Amino acid sequence: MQTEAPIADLNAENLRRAAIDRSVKGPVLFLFTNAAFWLMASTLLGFLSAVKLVSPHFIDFSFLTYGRIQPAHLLALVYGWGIQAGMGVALWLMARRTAVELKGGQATLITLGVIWNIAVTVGIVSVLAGGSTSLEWLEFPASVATVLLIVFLVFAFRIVSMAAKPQREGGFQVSTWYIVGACFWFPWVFATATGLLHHVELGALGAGINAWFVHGVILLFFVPIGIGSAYYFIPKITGHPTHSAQLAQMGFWTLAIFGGWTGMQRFMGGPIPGWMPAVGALAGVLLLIPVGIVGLNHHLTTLGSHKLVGTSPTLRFTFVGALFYPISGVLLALISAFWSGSTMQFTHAWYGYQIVVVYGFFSMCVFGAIYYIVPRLAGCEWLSVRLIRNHFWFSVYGIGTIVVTSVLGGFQQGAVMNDPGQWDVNFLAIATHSYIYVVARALAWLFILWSNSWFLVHLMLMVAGLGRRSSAPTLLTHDHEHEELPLTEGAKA
Amino acid sequence: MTDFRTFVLKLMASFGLPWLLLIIVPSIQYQGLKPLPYDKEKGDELDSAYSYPLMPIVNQQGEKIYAAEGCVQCHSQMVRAAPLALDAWRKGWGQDQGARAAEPVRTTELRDYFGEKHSFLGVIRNGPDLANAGYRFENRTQVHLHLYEPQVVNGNYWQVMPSYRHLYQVRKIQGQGSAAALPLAGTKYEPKEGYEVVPTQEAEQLVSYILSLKKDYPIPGAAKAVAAAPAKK
Repeated sequence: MQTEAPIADLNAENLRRAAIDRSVKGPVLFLFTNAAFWLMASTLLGFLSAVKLVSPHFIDFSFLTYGRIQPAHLLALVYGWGIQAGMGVALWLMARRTAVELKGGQATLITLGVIWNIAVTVGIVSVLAGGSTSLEWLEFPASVATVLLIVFLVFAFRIVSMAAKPQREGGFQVSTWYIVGACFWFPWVFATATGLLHHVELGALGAGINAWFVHGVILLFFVPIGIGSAYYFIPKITGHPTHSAQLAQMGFWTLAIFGGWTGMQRFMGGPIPGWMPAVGALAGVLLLIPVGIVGLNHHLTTLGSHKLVGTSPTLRFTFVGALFYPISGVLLALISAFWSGSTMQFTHAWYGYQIVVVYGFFSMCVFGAIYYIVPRLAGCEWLSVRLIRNHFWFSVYGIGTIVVTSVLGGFQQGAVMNDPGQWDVNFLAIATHSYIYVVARALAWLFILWSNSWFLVHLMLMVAGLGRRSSAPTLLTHDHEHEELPLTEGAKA
Repeated sequence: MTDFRTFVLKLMASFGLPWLLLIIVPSIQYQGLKPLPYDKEKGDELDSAYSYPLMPIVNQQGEKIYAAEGCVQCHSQMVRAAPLALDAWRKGWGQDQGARAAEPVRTTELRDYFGEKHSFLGVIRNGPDLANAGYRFENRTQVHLHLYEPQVVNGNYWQVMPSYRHLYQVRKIQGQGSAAALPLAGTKYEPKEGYEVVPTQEAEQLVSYILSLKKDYPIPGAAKAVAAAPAKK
């Protein structure tokens, strides 16, 4: 029997949520929209750089040589899309989870967002114009790095201070651990790497630190934001609380402990003191532990709700993103362990790993989050089921193709490189072996380009407030059995 | 609140440990790394007036062009240890450019990268390793041709390396013409009648850098190093 009190509670709860959403609306929507533009740019550059590997004379300009657009492609993916969208998700999720409104400073945050985007633009243009430092994921000038760091620190400070004073019981839990972790780790790794690499002479050790930085950003920013988001949305939409709090805790701390040790195995067999790649390889393999634990926990939470994966866009994207996490973990272990890593080293497999973790895992989770968050901030529902479906399937097939071809191509490339029977083969022959894989990669980026254009258009319409006026969420089905879904979130929040 | 504080402390501790032990301490130790003097009594070819590595190692101006063009995206500069990989036996990757080398190329060591702010060890090998590229070319013109249009050198239709034509200038021949002009006559890339292709300063610097890449100087006290002394210049 319904009494009046619960209804009043529910109303109060809804009002409180609406107030929180309103408080973060400006900055979050700003970050999402700009990030989506960068994702388009990155996709286009990814296509171009794949073509360039086969036909270097395609659109022959000095600023479009492979050595310049490949870094530009990854910079746009990492800083333009990834970290920007990640900050948006982190801000909204933390505000909701801790029930703390963002009190003031929205205009400052948006201004900082503008500065972030200007810095990324300047950085990428300078790489294309021939000002690259050739430091992986840090190709932009040192001044750009400083600006990015300052902007991130302000966002991180606002997010962490919410976590420090949660307004509700149990507001500081699994998903928020990961976000606080990312807010601490990223600036730490970033400041260490840029500070050392730009100002201290380090020789070959510098390359090792650079590799450690890339792994740090992947494992201690992209992975935690992705997992944090999955830990929030999977229970919320399936209606089951996270299966095991103990597993969640173990998964988090094993990632925290092993994440910082890995990276230098990129240069195994090279000039860096031997123990450093060895430790990196060990950590790379041991990171299978958090991967297994988190994967198991998500699996057990989703168990029995697989029907919802078909209908809820958020759950569908998050679920597939969470599936990419174990794949990325296995791939990391493979490229890290010496017995397989010596074959995969310096091959396309490394590109495959970057894409599976930044795009397959992280971005799919963030897409899921965006499909949930944006209707609540924009006050309207997604317009078209078909657009969401397009976005989903073209992304999944595209990413799947890139990862599979990169890993297979890399394996073949490495096997030829290490084949004693081919010690005197012209290196060009090795490169031509991987053409077929690179062509497939170019096609896959075209698939993704298609899916992302619709995502961008859809998102812009939503942000402009042109979405569907309805109280029912857009679900990937025509029956209405799940319409009550948003109301069930209260208990699980 | 105390929960949060212990959480943050644990975060700091778990990441601080690798940060300190893997990054900060080795970086400080690296600053104290000194060149090793040679010693004739121990079998080295050079006497103690020289030390390994022989300085200056790489051309610093050219290194900047190498970075700006993103060469590291396709070329590594690191010879992997023999049991792990075939690098040391790969044809032309060391000093010996001829038939099968009698000895493997020496694995690159930390000191080989002295004088470099941060080395370009490699990302993906779409092209051959350049750790010992200095031995690979007979003269500067060869390198210039390779950079200007790799297809000229390779004669292969399928070519992965892009042209770095923007490091060269096509200009009207004045008088005798420049001595530095590239010998493109007879190739598909020959400039128009009365014009010549000359390297810019950047191209010259990049070539000097590539030719200065010799990371196999003998290590003092290593027996095998005697045979592999850098005799050729």
